[in-house]
Amino acid sequence: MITGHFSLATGTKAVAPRLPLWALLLASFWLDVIFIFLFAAAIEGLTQVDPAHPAYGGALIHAYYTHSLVGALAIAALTGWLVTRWWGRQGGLVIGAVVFSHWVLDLLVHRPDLPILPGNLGNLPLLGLGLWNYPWLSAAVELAMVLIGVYLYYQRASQLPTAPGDTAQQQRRRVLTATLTTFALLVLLLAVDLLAL
Amino acid sequence: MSLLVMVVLIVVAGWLDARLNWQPAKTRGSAGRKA
Repeated sequence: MITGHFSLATGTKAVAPRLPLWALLLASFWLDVIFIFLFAAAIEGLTQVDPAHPAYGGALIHAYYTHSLVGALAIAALTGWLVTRWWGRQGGLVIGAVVFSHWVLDLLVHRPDLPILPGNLGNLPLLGLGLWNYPWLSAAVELAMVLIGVYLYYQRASQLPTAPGDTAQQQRRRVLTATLTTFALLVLLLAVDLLAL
Repeated sequence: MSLLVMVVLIVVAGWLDARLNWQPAKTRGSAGRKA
């Protein structure tokens, strides 16, 4: 669901156009950024359903802190609060929501490996609706998210006023370049993920 | 490989986005100055 996370961030520009795209993209991936550090510290981990054949959607994540429901909510709230310093209360709310959206999308695709409480306290049932059990359906959902996210981005960017010193044609070219490059990179990311490269 | 594409996406798409004429988000400081 890597591409799905980034696509949601791209589409979020339609409702929060003043937030920089890099910040939205990073926010959508923030739980995994923290996961990478905990993975390096051997606190969280990752295994493959079929270790001999790593494939798209074939991961089982053992991220009992960053990817627990309460942990993700706490990280989202803390991150949202921290960025209010730069982007105000509304910006903080949007960034916090995008950070938490990662957990919601993971819930859709993961096999049951997402705990409710940090550290899987109380051994409550692990969550995950398991769309990754149907890789092509999952990939189709991600592709649809790319198309919707990029369309929303383009639609909002097309309404921007021309920058001082620019002609309307230059502005249009900038919008098209940003949109098409983002689209191409999202499709490339999906392809790399699908091919398990 | 995925991680590399992700980094390129954040940097390149972020840079191209920043070249557009989005109004910067209002910060507490700038809201205060305007008031």
